[in-house]
Amino acid sequence: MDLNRLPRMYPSPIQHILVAGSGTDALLAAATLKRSFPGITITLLRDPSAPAADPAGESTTPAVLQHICNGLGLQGADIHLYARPVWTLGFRYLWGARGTFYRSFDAPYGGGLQGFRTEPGFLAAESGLDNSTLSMALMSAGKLFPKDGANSFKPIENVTGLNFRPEPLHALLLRACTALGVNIRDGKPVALTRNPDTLVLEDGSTLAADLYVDATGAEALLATLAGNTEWVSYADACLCPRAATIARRRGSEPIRPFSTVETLDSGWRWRVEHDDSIGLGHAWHPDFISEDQACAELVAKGGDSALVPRVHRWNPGRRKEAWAGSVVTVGDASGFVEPLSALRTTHLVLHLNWLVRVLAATDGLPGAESRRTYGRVVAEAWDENRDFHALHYRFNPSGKSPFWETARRDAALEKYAGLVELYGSIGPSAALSNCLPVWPGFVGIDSWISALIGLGVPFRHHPPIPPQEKKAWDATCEQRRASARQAVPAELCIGAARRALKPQPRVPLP
Amino acid sequence: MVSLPDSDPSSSVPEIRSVLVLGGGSAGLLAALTLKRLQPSLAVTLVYSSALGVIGVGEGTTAVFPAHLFETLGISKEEFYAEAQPTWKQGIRFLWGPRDEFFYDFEFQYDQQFRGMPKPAGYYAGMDCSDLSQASALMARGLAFPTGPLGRPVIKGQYAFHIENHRLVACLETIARRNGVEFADDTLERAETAAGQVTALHFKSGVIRTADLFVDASGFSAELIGKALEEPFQSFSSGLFCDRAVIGGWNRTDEPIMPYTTAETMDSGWCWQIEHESFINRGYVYASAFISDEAARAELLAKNPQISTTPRVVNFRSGRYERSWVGNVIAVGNASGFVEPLEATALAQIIYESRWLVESLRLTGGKPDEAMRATYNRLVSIAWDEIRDFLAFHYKFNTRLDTPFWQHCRQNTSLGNYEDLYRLYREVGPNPSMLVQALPARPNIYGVEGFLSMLVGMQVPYDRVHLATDQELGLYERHRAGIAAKAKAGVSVSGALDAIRRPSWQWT
Repeated sequence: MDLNRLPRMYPSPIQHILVAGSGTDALLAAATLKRSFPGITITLLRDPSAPAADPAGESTTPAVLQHICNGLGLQGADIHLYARPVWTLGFRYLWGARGTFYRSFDAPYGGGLQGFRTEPGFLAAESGLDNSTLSMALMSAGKLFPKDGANSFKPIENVTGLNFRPEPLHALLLRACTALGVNIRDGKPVALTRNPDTLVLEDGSTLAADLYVDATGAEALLATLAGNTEWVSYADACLCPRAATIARRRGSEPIRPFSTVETLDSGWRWRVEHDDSIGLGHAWHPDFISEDQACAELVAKGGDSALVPRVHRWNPGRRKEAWAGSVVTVGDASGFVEPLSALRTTHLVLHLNWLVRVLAATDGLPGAESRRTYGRVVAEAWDENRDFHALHYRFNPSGKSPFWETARRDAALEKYAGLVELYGSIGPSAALSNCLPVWPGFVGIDSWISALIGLGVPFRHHPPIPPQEKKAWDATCEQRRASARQAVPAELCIGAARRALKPQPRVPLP
Repeated sequence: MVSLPDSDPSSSVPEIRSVLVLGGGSAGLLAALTLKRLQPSLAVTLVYSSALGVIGVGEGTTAVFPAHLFETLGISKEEFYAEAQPTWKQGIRFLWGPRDEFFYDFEFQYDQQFRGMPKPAGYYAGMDCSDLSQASALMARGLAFPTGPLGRPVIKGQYAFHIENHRLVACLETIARRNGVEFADDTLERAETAAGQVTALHFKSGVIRTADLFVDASGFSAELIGKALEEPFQSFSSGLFCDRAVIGGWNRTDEPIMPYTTAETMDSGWCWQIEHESFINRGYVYASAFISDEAARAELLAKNPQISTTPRVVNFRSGRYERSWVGNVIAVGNASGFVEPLEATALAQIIYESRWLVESLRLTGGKPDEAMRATYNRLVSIAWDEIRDFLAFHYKFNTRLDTPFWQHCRQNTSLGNYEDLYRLYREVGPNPSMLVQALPARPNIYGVEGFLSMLVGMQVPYDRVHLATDQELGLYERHRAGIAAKAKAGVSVSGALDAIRRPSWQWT
């Protein structure tokens, strides 16, 4: 009898974690784990034959910037020097009953407003959203940051996301991994043998670790090798399973301080701003437009017939079990929704934070219930974002095409249906937060109410707004509008941030 | 402004202008008073029956009660203390589980991490769980409040009351009358219904009353929600096995007034001790399947020979109506649901229901529709089920006695929606930031703190025991000693009562 083949009777704490994957997910996972547990060996296993990342890039939320600073310990200077991101204040939607609306990261709808009896949601719904917060006014004016004195600006980074192109972002994260002491090696896993769980690589060599982090993206290579394939589909909420992306040169076009999301007859289109390029994407449903036609439209929109679109086949949904046995999935390996809310990386950050929390709370001995707790957190966030997408498909009355008729009929909210129904009764009140099935939730009450107002979802009770409050609110909005017009455009802010770095980054990375 | 399509114009939902409250006990009075104080334009009529009388005994509250009365409703402290004559409690003293005793309070004992320590407080409380909060340190010393300037008690924070029911009812009635609640003494004969609504109430006097909204505060008989509208009742009997109580008491002689309710394990249930100023009230809550009324009375008297009143038996059933708000009827208090007073939840639940009723009216401009009612019912049933499951933890893990009743409880009590929380606790231990993720629903009243108070208090074992270093234990002791030192100089209940009755006392 081979004693080594028996399951260990007394578990010992995790000493070696292997992170598999070649994209943002894996790099961020490896760096986060190493920074959180310097005493644990972290190996990053990259597949050199993996396809290059999509140059269209992606938009993120303030939580991601906060994680890069606090979770990885990177300084703003390093981020701008290596990753060369642009800031984003939120989104402009060409969508819903209002036709267009902005959604920012500084929405105040989960709380009250000092000096007002009326809740901010009702004031915004009544007077219009465009100047309802500082970020909203800035976006409306096409400016990024408010002025701070004559020759300076105030970076309101607590309410900005960053837009990343994958190549420079990976360069930054790879440097962080190296600086932190992550072991990096190349290899492609082809099998997972049990007792003890060991990875077999394509070249025949083996790699054993105490925990395997599957950060291989939608492919979910390790989870699949481990037999963890059960999938909860979001096909009735994320209605566009196909997409194409391109990255076109920016030329002289100004950098918008927001990402743009626009409905199309057979789906929708998004636009992500980068410094010298623009990422464009078109998501569609194949029953309503052919791939050729969708790609042709996208290339036409890009204005450069030489562009070759990259086609994506999406399988929106989540893995039923995010963490099974010794393999834990993070990022796209655990689930996927369309990029309508730009929360992909925010999901990943949530996963990593909870993975760290579970490992810390259990002193490196995560048991079945801890793994289940991680799985619940991950699933709840995916499910919430799923419903957030369903909301957008359900409430786009301006779409007159057959696709939108189907979408309005078929898009089904699940756990958040009660929240949306109560909204239909009481409107944008902070009391809606009592209808969140999970507190504080992943999308969060502020974003839910922002979207409900922005989409123009009707509600029955409009509380009377005292005239003096209406007047005071409108005056505040006008003030915001006036100062936003004086604010600083994105190019100047980005230029200033990078110029300031040129001579010498404050804490140079190797 | 954007014009929005409106599928259901507000005109189709009738506005609520008049409310009839049926029942003059603490539930009816609190509901009426809350409605009238927070929505003064409502016409509120309360119909009570002097023929039925009030069955209430002395009761304890939670910290929600003083906050609601004084802060939300703005009731004068002078008047309330003079009329209702409450005493204070900082929590519950449990004679429960393997420890001699432990305290449940309204502060934070286990949902905290002392500065400089690597683990939350619960990991160090395996041996000694005293002095983890100011309230528990005060209770352990028989004291009610810390001492402030000039030696006066600092009556602030998360304290609660013991109140004799007849005084509470009289006090609330006076305040409600003054605030414009109309009172009528009459007894319900029958309720007229049509299409799932109550259309009119016929009273013994021959008067027929109607209103836009009926508040059923008729207690266990649930005249409107149960009898008239026949809403199904969900029993809590899978988690709570007690169905009777035998109640007695005696006049206080030289016993000090304790700043807590005591909950003591008994052979076939448990016994409360409520500390009024001049009376001590005891009640043995038991399961009739395990002990006869006679034997229960005998056990109560044997363990409390001071009892001078004739013990009386009260029957009850634990459970809640599936919905508390059906059509134009909203049930509050015992008419909405009932659990035994093990965590003194009755008044807090009435307040929760009354607050959400007022909030529902406010949020809909007095025109609550089906979506609002559904939300209300969801919130109230989550609260009832949480109380049920919280009490179930008390029964499931009490290892103090090995009687047939307690064996049955430990084997058969269902933890309901909080099974996951227990399973995670069993693995990781008292870690609040992990356990918070296993709470099943929001809003959540007790929080991780409440459940940990019972789990750690009863020394329920878990896998990942933290082997604290000597240095950690030293820190733990120092933190507790600091809390204890402040508590030692506190004021007793009778000291605090003396203080507030001095002419120089001023509530601020």
